[in-house]
Amino acid sequence: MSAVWGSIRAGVRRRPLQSAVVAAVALLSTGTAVLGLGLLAVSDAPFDHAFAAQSGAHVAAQFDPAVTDGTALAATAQASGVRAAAGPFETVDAALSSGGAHRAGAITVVGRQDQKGTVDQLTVDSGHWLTGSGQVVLARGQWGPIAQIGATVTLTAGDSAVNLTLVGFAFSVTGTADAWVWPTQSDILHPKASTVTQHPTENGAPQTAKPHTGLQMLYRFGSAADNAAVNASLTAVTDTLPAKALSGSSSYLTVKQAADRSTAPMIPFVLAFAVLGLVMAALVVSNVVSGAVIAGYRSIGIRKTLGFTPRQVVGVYAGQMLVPGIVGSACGVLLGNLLALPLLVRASRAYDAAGQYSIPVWIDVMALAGVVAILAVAAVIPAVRAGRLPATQAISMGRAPRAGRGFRIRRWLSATGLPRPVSFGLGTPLSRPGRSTGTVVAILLGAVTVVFALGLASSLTRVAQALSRTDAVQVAVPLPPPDPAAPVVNLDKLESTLKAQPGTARYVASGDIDATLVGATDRVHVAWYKGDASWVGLEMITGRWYSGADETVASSSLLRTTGHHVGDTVTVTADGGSRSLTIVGAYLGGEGEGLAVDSSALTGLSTKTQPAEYEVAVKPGTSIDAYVQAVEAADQEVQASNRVVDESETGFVLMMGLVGTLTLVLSVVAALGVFNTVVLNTRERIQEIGVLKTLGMTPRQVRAMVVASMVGLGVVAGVIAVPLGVYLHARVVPVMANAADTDLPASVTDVYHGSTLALLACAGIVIAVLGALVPAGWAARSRIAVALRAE
Amino acid sequence: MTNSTVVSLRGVTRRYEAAGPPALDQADVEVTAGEAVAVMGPSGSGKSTMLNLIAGVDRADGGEVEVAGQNLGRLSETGLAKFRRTRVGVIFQFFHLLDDLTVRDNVLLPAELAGGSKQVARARAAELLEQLGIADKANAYPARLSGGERQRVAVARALMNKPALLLADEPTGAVDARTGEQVVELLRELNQSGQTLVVVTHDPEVARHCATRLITLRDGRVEAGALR
Repeated sequence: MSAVWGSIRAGVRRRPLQSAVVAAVALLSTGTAVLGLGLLAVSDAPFDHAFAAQSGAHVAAQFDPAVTDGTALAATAQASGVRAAAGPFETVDAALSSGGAHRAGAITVVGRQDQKGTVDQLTVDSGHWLTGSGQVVLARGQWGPIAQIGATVTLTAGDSAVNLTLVGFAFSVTGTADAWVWPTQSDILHPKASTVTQHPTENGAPQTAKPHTGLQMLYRFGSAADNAAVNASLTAVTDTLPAKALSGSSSYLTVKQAADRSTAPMIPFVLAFAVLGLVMAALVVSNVVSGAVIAGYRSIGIRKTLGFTPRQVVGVYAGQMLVPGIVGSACGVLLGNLLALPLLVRASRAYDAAGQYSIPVWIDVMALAGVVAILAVAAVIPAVRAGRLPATQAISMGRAPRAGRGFRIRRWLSATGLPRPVSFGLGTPLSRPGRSTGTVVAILLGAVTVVFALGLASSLTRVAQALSRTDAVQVAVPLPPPDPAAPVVNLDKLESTLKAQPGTARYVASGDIDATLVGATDRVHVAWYKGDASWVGLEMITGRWYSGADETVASSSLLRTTGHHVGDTVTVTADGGSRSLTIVGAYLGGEGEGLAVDSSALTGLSTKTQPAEYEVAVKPGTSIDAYVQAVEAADQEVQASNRVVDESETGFVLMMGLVGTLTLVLSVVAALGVFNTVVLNTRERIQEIGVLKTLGMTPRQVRAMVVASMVGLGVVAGVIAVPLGVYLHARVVPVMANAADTDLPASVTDVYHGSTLALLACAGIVIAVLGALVPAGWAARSRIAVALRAE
Repeated sequence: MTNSTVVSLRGVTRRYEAAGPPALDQADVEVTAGEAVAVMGPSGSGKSTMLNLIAGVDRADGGEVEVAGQNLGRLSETGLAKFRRTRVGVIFQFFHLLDDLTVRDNVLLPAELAGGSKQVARARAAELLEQLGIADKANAYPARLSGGERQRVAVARALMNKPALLLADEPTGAVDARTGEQVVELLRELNQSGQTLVVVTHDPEVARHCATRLITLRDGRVEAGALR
């Protein structure tokens, strides 16, 4: 056995490039496998994993402090069915502002000391958890782009306006609060009641605002599999308290449904990338290793002549592949973990879950074992074949590719009139059809990835544009919420200001109300516009824009949820009454979007006719920031905002980053497969290259010949990859849309056009050329004298 | 170096290992136009090294190599390639013909790499094939040729671009005795028609029949030069 081990060590040392290539392929393949399996793992029910990791609350219950007290609530932790509880925490509904900018609507502020407890263990995304009073931590997504850590934010409730330092952003898997303050922050948790006049209603009557405070308890129950179980457990808790103590509650099941809806669209494309990566890793490893063993046939023949048994031959060549392969795979596990970490963070963020940010050990073990097994099989099969060959035949097979393979095509290429280096290069792959086929498939998978990824990126970009509507509406002028300290905005003056701006293309006042709709379990968000709003960027899927008070357009998601269709007449009920509306079109809407109507439809439906904001389209070439400053300078009662900056979709940016990184990794693996093939081909043909150089082939011609040898394969792979990539896109995008419960407009699905497809067909060539460039340079620089001696 | 000097080696040294002995040591050699020089010596004496340096497929570590008016040490790799394709023709021991090209295409190869008129190149190839007696094999593939025919094709390929110097590395080493005699006769005829020739051989008969001068190498040093 020592002769075998000695031969293994000698082989590894004597062919450092081959060993390095095997190790590099094993490294990248294992890394890709770890990455692919890691993505699959993180895609597996991310909400459930995050919920388990955070010991999420099955129920966040809100109690009326006027009816019950902290002592009674603390005692509920011992109630039947309660496995764990946290609280009571004081809560208050407050307005949030910072630097003069206001967040629309009230947020729930919770007084809480512990970041981690037995229930709802919060994850701090950035900054740190509260260390005392005077600080506030905002929930993920609450004003991240506007308020930075260290900024002063103002919480306003009733007559109390408290300035606090923003120290961090945290994540609660069930969204138990929008902001957390220290429990002793009584100036905001116990706000002064407001009795002053607010914004007058339309009939001029004064409004009063009472700060809404409460006590929050977070429960984990022994039985919480469905709504009935959750309700039964909650009833067992409330039975121990006075009647009407419970003022509200939210179940984790509601959050889970919403999370699953937002997660589901991610899974198809992550799966597609993971599968592509795993297949490519297996293919490239087997192609590289079997190619390397075949290239060693001559040495196998010589060893057999010296008396090596077939088993020893197999041992030597499997060993020569496995030694660098195992080293590479072990490093690949490390690389995969390093590479996966940022991607898993991205994926988890895209899933909006506090998912696991590390690869489970079983994935590392599985990837390592899998790649080493593929290495072993890929090495053993050709080695066994070589071991059975007569020694002389093995020597002749290893010296050069068998003559005659693809002879006719190579002759035809010679007669085509192409420059000789090109015709020689194009004919090279025909002499090793098996190796070339493996290389084509590797390039094909890489090119399919590129075609699919670019299509997906286009679709995601268009969805993001459709949802953010920044192409249509670049500036928003929000009107401040009712605030005793703020003056009432003069709408006539604001409209005059907008009209007077030379950069104004169009503007429209808009508002929104909540309503109920037959078929919808939750309240439906109804956006209204005062005037023509067909230009505000709601991307129509079917039908047309509304015209008149009795028509509406609905988000595709709402139609799917409620079972309504374009053409149906529905009854909408809000605070002012009911109204029948005919759905005349469906648009691509984001989460929570429902109906869009003209403001005239509010008659008899709602009394809330005060606009919430003005949406403005600026003329092409107008500086948006300059426009915003001009509006604010002309009307100091308002603050305009640049929607192009503010509405950038973080989730889409993360998804695009994920797509881009995965595409890059898979393309590099494909290019490495090409690299290996060129190294093997060049080594086999080194003498022919020496002869050609002796006859006067310049280094540039040699480089062209070697690169051309892969270009043909790249063309074949690229041409096949285009329809496959387009097919994959056509299958995956609708699955993503279905998972998001929406239809898609043609602008999102039809992203491939003639010129794009022609360019994408070049993806295979690009991968082939990139993989071939380095060894082509080596071939060009090879020493003729050495090459000619390589007999 | 006179106008008629085709090869000039002045103090040329080539070392393959920094610490080892030189493969060629301070060699001084001149070959004038029309000469046929045989380079002889035992294995490892530096014959092939000298041939490689003259052919421009290797570079000297010291001294100057000038061939057909070109100082090879001053040429880039591309410059050397262009030098090889136009100024020298090389005949290999094992022919090194490309199996998937016909005889005609093998002969045309140096002209195709150099570019230029295809018509002129084809006429030149036809002329060479005719001259070497293998015109009837123009469309055949090397695998179907005898050893002597293959070596004639190799000679035709080497002469395609009308090189100033023809280099032959053991031209009879891979053929039988009868074919070897034909090859030697062919080389002699070429020399008699004015072609400058340098032949590396270990066979004294080859040297005696086709060379006008003999250079003997031992341990990398030029030992003697004798006229036929």
